[in-house]
Amino acid sequence: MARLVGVPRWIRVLVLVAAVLVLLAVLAMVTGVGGEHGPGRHVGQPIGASAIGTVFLADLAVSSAASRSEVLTAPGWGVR
Amino acid sequence: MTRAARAGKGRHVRRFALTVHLVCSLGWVGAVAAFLALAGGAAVSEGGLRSAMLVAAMVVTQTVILPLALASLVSGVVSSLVGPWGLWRHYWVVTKLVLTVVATGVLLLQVRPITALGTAHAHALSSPAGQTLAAGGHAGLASLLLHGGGGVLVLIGITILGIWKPRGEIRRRPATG
Repeated sequence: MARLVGVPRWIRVLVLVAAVLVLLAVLAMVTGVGGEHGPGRHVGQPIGASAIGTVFLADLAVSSAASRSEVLTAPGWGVR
Repeated sequence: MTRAARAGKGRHVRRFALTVHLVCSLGWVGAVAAFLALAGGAAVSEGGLRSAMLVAAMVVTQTVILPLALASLVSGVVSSLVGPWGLWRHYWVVTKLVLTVVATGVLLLQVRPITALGTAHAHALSSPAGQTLAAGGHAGLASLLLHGGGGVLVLIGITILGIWKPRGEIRRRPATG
């Protein structure tokens, strides 16, 4: 087993700064300030499934309503 | 091949590797800065303009930032191996490598949410129902700004390390006992 010797001061400062940043990031995730950062945020669903799915469903509702409206107002339909 | 010819060929290889690495690395910094400008513009915009900026940010991420990041990582390793510095001999080289790997990892994790946001807003631009999304809140923009800003700072730090090359050679001492 070998040990590193003569580590420069700038490396120690950099490691300290990195440790503080990692700690802040962990705190932000634990307290919920940073939002959801678990695996569910990045994996487990297709790209943009939630947002796109919402828009598609809304589109579907709009187009369905428009179709019903066209059908109901077409000649031969509606109140006799 | 003579010794001089081999040395000349080695010099050409080193210069080529360094050129590729410089172009990719500095291009990466500029592309992330452009991404940050688009995310910032989206944060202060509304409606279709915001959607257009988020779609542009997605395209920049997928077609420019990601390829440059991967190319920068690979070309950096190659450049250090064929160059005079080595990969594990100097602290600044190892630090650059670690920071580049971390930055690339964070980027890979961010590609999916950025793509999701950009795709949703692309649909919003061409869909009547999607207009509600475009007119909605700024969900996800804070994350883009935070990660983009952090990315620019880290990449500038990596660039400074590459130019200044702070002293410090990695030496190992066998453990006693």
